[in-house]
Amino acid sequence: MLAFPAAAEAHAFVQPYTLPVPFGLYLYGAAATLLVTFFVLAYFARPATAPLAAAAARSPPSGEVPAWLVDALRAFAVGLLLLTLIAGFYGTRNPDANIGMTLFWVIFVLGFTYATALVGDVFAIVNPWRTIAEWLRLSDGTRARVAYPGWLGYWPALVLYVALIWIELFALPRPSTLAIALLVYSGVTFAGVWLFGATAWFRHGEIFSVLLRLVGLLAPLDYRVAAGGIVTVRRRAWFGGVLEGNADRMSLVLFVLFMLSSTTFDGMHETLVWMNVFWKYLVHAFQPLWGTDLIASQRILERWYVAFQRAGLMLSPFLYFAVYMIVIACVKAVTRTAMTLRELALAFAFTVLPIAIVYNMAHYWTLLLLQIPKLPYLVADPFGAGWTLPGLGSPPAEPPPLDMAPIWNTEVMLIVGGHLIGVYLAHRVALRVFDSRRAALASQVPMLVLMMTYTVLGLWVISQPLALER
Amino acid sequence: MQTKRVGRHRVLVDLSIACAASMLLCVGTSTAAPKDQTPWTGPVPRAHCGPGDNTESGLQGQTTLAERLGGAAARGLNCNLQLIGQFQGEGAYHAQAWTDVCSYYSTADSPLQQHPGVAVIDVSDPTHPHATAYLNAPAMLQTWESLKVSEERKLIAAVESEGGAGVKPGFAVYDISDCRHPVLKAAIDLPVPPGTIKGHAGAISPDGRTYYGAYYPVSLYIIDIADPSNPKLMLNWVPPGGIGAPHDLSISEDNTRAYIMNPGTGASGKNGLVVLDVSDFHFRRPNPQPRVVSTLFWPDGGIAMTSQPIRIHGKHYILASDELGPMLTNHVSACAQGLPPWGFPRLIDIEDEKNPKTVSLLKLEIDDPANCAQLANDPAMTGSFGYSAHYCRADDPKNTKLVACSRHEAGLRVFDVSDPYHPKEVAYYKPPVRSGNNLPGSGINAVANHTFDWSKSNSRFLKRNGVRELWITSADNGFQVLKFTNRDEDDDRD
Repeated sequence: MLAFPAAAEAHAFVQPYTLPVPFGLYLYGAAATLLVTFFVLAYFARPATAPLAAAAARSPPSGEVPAWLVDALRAFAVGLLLLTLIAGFYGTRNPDANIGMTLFWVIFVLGFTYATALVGDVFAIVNPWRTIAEWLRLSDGTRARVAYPGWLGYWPALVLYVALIWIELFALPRPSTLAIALLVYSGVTFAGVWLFGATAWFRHGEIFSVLLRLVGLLAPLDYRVAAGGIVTVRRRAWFGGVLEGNADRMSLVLFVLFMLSSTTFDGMHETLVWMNVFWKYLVHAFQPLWGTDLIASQRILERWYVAFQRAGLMLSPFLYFAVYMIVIACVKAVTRTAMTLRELALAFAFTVLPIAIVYNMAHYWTLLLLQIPKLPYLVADPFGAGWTLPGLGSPPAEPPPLDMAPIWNTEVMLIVGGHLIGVYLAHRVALRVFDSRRAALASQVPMLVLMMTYTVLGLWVISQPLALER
Repeated sequence: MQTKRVGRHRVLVDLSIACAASMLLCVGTSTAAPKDQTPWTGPVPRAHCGPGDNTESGLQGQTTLAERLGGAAARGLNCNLQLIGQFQGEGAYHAQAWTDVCSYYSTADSPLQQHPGVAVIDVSDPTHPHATAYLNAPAMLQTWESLKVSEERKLIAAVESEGGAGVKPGFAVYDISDCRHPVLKAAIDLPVPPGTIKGHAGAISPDGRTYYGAYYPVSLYIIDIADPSNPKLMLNWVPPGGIGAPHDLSISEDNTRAYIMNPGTGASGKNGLVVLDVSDFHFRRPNPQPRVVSTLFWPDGGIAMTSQPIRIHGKHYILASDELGPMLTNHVSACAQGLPPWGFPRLIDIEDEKNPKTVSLLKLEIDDPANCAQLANDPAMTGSFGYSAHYCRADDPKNTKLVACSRHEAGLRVFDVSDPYHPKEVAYYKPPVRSGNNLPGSGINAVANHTFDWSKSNSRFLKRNGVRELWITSADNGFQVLKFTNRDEDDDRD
């Protein structure tokens, strides 16, 4: 995130960490862990006795969320959205001292997402845009002025998600930019609700509804809104949501893959490897277009480089999709199943979710560590006007030093752990999808190769900005 | 009539002469008038580089992506400075000190180093500098910014500073009478409870009797080294309100003033210069205490770093620098607010020490927020120190004409400050980028994206055998001897 550079980036007071074993051993070790897990699962895993989705539908709710709490949370969420907008337009230009930037980018986009993986999709209940749309009576929830076109799938959410990450990575971190973006986004959301109805738009078009519903599949709690707005909660197994259903559109598969590829792109796009792809390879491939003198042509080449960067972000989900479909094609080939590629791709898509979320956590968790201690000061002085609360004092000008050893070890643990869960879930899905245990196990060989490859890539990317002596 | 006519003519001539004289006087007065003394706040004029130089192609100070990845930076970029000798060793860390024909530079204290500690370099032949010893007392293993020399007493000293916050309150001092082979005089842990002192930087008084340690940005601790074999802690001073809590510091010629760089990250939240009266310590008075004489804070910098008292045309100045811009490592955020993305040097007039005032900013084009768009894709923007300044040193503190400032990825920059209100750049040197060459003692040994080298050290001007040398260190290139190649900027300076 441009607004809050990770403190791990060779900061003044970060002592380089000498890895206790060569970096390559981490990669081999992580890949070997997945391999061993694969064999353990292959030995122990048994087909499910009943489809989980059916079981989920039958299981009664464990409790009810009090209506007053729902109302309070919804009002609180609307208040936070308004606070972010007001701080953006009227607060300080300093993104570090403006509560809007921390509220949105750190607390909501990061913290709330991680919390959703633990406590379930609370956002579906407290979504401030849904609340405001209801207050404005833009839609009665079911009836639409225009029926949502099936071909549109989740494309609106995906396009808006790409735009969100674009702003995160490429726009200058101005609170006013965030406020304008949120205002425009609110307008788009309300227009979508007005046109297609709340149910359709919040299912397919609103980024955070789609994103957090997917993340919530990992949690052991499932919320349902019954008639009369009563919210019930149901307990389920960890990651149970992933096994209870499939992706219903290929555009949702792309959305899931963008959750992963956008984080990878964020990690990659400032590495030497990425820069060399353009400056050492592409530039020479297109040399007839710019001449022979790199320095003399650098102004035009830098404009191309900007286009290359932006294209990298936009194309990243499609690149991942291509790799994913190759793996799915391999799955189809080794299992000789009658299922179509599309059916297989939809069936396995959600098994990528734990990897996407842990990779995101590994990438950004130091930012949370640094920003959350600033929250009391931002609450006391949300607009950066110099206010303070008695006894609170001024915020520290500089974050405390970070110890690189636990940072690196935590990131390794997160990435390996997330892939292990992915391998496990893919096994479970395979046992549900395929008729025979043999076919299910065979299908997991290509998936295992994909997981091992991505573990190695993920560890490498995540290690790039850290002060590690290899 | 004739007489009258002659008389009138003479009057006309006299009037003409008087008028011409008065005009000349007017012109003369105009010429002698003081030059514009408006503080200089924009980027300084660029250097005029020599014909064989491999010069920067982007903004002044910038290393463009094309230079970084197209090979130009790997050859090194230079203007009026040329490398004549080098000892790369295992790489260099933040500090360099010197005496006679010897340089001393710190290293990273990596367990992978074969020669941990401060490297002692014999530079008697500038084309073949070589190591003669390594100082490996605990406090010398990673000195951060505390490695300082007393020419007067031939001592070199440092405080323990692992990671910029020493684990122990270590202190070491060596005798460098034989500069090639220093002799350890003392290596101690100061008698304070654990965690009370964490070394970061420091300074030796010119008389060599007192060492001032800096616990960033918390306290100033003063060590009596009158007997270097028996150092004694005089006081660990935690300034009330944080005014005077140092990053680094320097001591006046008369040993009675400390020029504290107050980094803005301490309790005061203010970034700039604090002039402290430390005469109690110099005169060894009972119950000594520092006293604040004056302060000068500025909003356009962060982590105030270096200070050196200098004289230009007899007037007293402080040569100061900031290690980061006002938004610290968040350069993009600085640009978003129209603030300078990097820390840069400045000259401060302390002729009236109670009212210090900035007379010029030694900015480069990269420091101008108006140029932020041209830096948007620059790797330097992605964090850490980027192009920010570190140490600055004058050619002659008593009669300064040139100053050399290390600026991390912007290399070493040399400015002509003989007119302190109109500084100009005269030379620069960016050491060759050594991607993939991870030297264990280097200050960037653990940074994966090596599209730069870090120039971070103090620089020594030295004229010998008709050649003006500049001794520098950089993280991946170690110790280097440069010479000025543009004689216009060389010979007429002595």
